[in-house]
Amino acid sequence: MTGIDVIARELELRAGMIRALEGDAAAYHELLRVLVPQLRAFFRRRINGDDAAEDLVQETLIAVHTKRSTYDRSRPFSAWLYAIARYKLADHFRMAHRQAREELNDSIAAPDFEMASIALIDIDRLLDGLPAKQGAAIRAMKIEGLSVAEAASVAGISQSDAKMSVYRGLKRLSDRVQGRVK
Amino acid sequence: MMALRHGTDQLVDRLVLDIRPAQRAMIALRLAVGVTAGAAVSVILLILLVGARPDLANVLQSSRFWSKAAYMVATAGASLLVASRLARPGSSTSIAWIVPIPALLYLPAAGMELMTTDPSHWGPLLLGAGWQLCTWLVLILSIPIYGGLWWAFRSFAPTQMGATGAVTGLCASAIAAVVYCLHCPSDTAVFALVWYTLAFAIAAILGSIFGRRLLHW
Repeated sequence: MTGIDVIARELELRAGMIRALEGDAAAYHELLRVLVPQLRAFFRRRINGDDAAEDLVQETLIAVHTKRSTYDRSRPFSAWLYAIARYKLADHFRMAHRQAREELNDSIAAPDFEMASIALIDIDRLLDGLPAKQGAAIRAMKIEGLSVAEAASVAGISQSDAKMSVYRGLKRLSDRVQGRVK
Repeated sequence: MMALRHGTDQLVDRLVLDIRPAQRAMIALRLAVGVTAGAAVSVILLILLVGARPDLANVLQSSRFWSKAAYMVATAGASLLVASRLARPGSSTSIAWIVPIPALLYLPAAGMELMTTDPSHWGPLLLGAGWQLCTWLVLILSIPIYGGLWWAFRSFAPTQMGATGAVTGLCASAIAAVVYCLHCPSDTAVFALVWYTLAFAIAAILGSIFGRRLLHW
């Protein structure tokens, strides 16, 4: 497209917009019909995904409509139009960015994640302070969720020994947590 | 994709059905309504908080009072003009240089005051009768005007949020300063240039910070 064509197109669009602002529905329809492929090309060059581009075309058309009183009839129409389109594009990127950041924050900074990590570290430290048999029995039955029989066979001890180890271990842990045993 | 394109066509049809002649002076009208309403609230606020100065009738003949008021009115007008440009997407803001002109024009008056005053009396000249009150009251009085401007801007389409927020904040504080002239007992140019300008700067910074959130459309 030559410079003359661009100017001719601009003058045509501006004339159409001015008639639309005076309430001429036919001129407005023609203007929007011409704008749609222009805007579509503008957004497709700049973002991935035709659906997202089409959404932005629609949002820009709505903004052109609701903000049409802000068009100054003495100034270039294209400058006004593409300032709106660029604003919608920046908005799109800002929103996508915020969404990505929130998702990341949700998975990392969720209080559950932090609390669970700290709790695991604490449990490890407490169990390490117990006699090996008691620590292993508690870990097997209370944390990993094995049955008495399974825990006993894994540890190679009798079931009553396993139960007693858990009981003694928990007792010792609760004493330690309450500060009675150093 | 075809469905979406069809949606775009339908949208165009709906928008065309909704077309009505547009108000030519929409921006000027809404700015006028927003500023007037905000300033009216500010005047009421001023009367409730501190009242008008008792010698108001006398100072209306003083050139110092009027040059002070002129500085504020001119700053308000210049920033309002720039704000009206920023209301339109893609408009040139090359006239932003007019904003500091009133302050520059007012500077010689302050220079004259300093030259004609003995340096030992510069303190009272600068500190007047309570500068803290002046700066803070101007900021408080500017809140309703900033609110009025924000209301006006809701139907505009600013694309430079930081600049728009700063200019509306400046404009609100300059109009608030005009309102505060009804009370402010200090009429010296030195006092006005330092403390009112400080209030304008704070308002512009705050306006810019809030503008980024409030002006979004």
